Amino acid sequence: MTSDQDTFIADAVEKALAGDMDAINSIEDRSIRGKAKAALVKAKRAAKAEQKSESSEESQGGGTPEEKVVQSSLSALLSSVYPDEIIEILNEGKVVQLKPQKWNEIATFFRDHADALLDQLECLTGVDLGTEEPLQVRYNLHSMKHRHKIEILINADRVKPEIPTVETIWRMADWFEREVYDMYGIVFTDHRDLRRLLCPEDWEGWPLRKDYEEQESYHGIVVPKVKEGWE
Amino acid sequence: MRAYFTTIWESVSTLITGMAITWRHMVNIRKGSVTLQYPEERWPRPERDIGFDQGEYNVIRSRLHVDMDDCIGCLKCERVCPVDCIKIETHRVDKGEDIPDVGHTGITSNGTKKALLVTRFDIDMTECCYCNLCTYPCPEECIYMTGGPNSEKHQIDYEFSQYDRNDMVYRFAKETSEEQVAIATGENGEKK
Amino acid sequence: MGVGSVKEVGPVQAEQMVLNIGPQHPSTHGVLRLKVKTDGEIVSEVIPYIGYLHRCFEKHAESITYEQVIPFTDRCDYIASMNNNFGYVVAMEELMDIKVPERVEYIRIIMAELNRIASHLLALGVYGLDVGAFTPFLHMFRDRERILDIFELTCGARLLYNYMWVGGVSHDLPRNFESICIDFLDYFEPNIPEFNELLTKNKIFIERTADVGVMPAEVAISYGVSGPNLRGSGVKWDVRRDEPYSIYNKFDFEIPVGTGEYGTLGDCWDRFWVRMLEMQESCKIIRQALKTIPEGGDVHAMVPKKIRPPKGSIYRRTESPRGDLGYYIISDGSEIPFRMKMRSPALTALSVLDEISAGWMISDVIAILGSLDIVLGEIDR
Repeated sequence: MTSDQDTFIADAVEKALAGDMDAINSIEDRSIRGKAKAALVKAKRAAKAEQKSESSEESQGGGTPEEKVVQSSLSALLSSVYPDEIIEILNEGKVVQLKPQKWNEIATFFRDHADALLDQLECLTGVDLGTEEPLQVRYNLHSMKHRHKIEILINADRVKPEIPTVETIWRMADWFEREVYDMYGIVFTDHRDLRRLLCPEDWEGWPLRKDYEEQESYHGIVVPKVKEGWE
Repeated sequence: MRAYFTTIWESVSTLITGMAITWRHMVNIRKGSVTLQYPEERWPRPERDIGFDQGEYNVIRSRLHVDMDDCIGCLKCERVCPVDCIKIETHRVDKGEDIPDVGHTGITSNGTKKALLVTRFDIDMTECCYCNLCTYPCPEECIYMTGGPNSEKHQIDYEFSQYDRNDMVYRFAKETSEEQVAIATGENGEKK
Repeated sequence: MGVGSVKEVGPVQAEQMVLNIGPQHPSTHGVLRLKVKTDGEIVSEVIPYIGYLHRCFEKHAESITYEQVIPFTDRCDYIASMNNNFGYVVAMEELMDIKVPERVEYIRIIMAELNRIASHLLALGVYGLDVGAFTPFLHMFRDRERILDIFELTCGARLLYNYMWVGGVSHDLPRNFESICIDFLDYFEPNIPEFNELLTKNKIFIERTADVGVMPAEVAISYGVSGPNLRGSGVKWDVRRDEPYSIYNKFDFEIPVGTGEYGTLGDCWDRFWVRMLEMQESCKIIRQALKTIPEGGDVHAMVPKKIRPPKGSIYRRTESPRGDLGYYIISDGSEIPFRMKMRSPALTALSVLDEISAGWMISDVIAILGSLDIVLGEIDR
């Protein structure tokens, strides 16, 4: 971009920020108009971020260097009782990442505490975040009485993944944890019957991992799909 | 004692009600028979004039067919197939030119000029999941499921079982040898 | 594994036997293997073995685009295929923040409810077959064929539709759809009292299913059971009412709940009765929808050219005839899903089989399994 194009675009963006969109819409050259619009979006975002940081600084009254995190009532309850176990609160308190060590205790707390009463485990998902990243298990919890939800993320190391089981707390976790073990290899400690669910008992490998290589043959059956003449 | 007789009465009465329904259906057998004597009688497939305002919609799921004269080799159907049952190979040729040696017509029936020569167009009907996704993106509407709204182009065909699995691979492109391809694409110097 | 431990019961010695109800069996609703530990008649433990129909749906979904996943979701629960599509599409539209046209919502609800009727007809007919009643099976299948004919009219396929797309549906309804549908409903609704007379109120059926396989409400919630199985135990939970999606909040329908009329609350008869009543409610919804469906409008208006959701994840559940069908989708901003999990309701229903069938006889285990209405395609994916 040449410098007078620069100043032309900066001019137009300023006018647009002040409210006059015609300055940009009347540019005839399509590429310059596109650049001006992009610069306008960037300027608007920068202004918004400034505003946010100003207001958060004001509400904190200055002093603490961290940003104030928006929490839901459930995540606030959790952070008041188990503040050390929380790694991160995401998505305005709807998603909480926890450390794996005390997960069993926290799960019992979630199910039995009068303000939480999360008696229904909706879904238990295993996730492989990437070949260099850890494995992760996500729990979606729901309360039939209070009708609120929360999602819990727990990371597991890739080499030796272990997470405490919650199958005694929510019985649904029994089979869902077996499936996660089958697909990812995450061992759920103290599970009373952890064996493969969908694959045969003597299958090798953890199929849903991103670096999964299927075995060459299984009891004499060729495993990879080979179709002659089809390529 | 009373419960004993009530149970007997309930059992007998409910059984008789059930049998009465079956009897009623049996004596009305001419009116209510739903059995078709296949293959002499066949259930009609939905035809085109069942009330669609949009004329081109393909509401039929049957065997796939390709009008090769219209195919421009854009590979859209191959990309969108979820089970990879379509295999296409193409070569670049001069746009819009007829090449009689390999039967390449150069212009489709809609007037589009073809820039690619299709030497291989195989559809494996044993893999096809009949989802109909390949018929929507085709710009020339040359791949379609036979019958129904397409009955003018090709009669319906849903009974195409074979004895050998390899016979279920439908090869639509004409056989072209390597020399013919070389001549068509002008690789050996002769521009055609 | 043959004869296990020897158990002393008074002067008679009873030995525990392991019986295999193998993957090929007419009443296991698919390829399911049950290892039943019994002493000859009374069952002490049932261990299900699944995985015979595992087709790696979730692994496949990580290498195909979002629109190509829809035929795969069809095939998971092949009996209620429209509801599977519906669940996926609702989750995707919430992730991408798309609002579909009004007519599309009505079409989707009509299709989903028709498929709910068809699925319940199959479940009830096959359940009758399991406990020995051969006639209602064919009656219900005759009515189910009429529904499948309606589907063939609309999208060409009878069982696996690929009908609902992200942002719309694949075809608009034919011009005479309303008259055909009303004809079907007028024909079908008087048949439901006939089914009741044939099967539900039959004394033999009641003797076989009432008080059998009682599932208390706390057990059901803890095991994650949902849908008619949970409602049969008295819990009034329906995703269409409690977490409404699409335009279900515009329709007026009841949520039938088991009442323990012929036995304990939560037995097999209650679950059967809930399904029978749900068919009537679905008929009501379809009639209301056909009356108020807006004319005209493009059903492809909001279908994006390339489905590329923003980065993020979503879990959304919808009500399939078997329970809470949920899709957990993680998107990394590209055209191909990063993780696609289908939370199937039949898997939770099968896991509760062991708990509720201890202490019953072997033929009761078959009756309990039939009342849970499982489909192996959904369990194994």
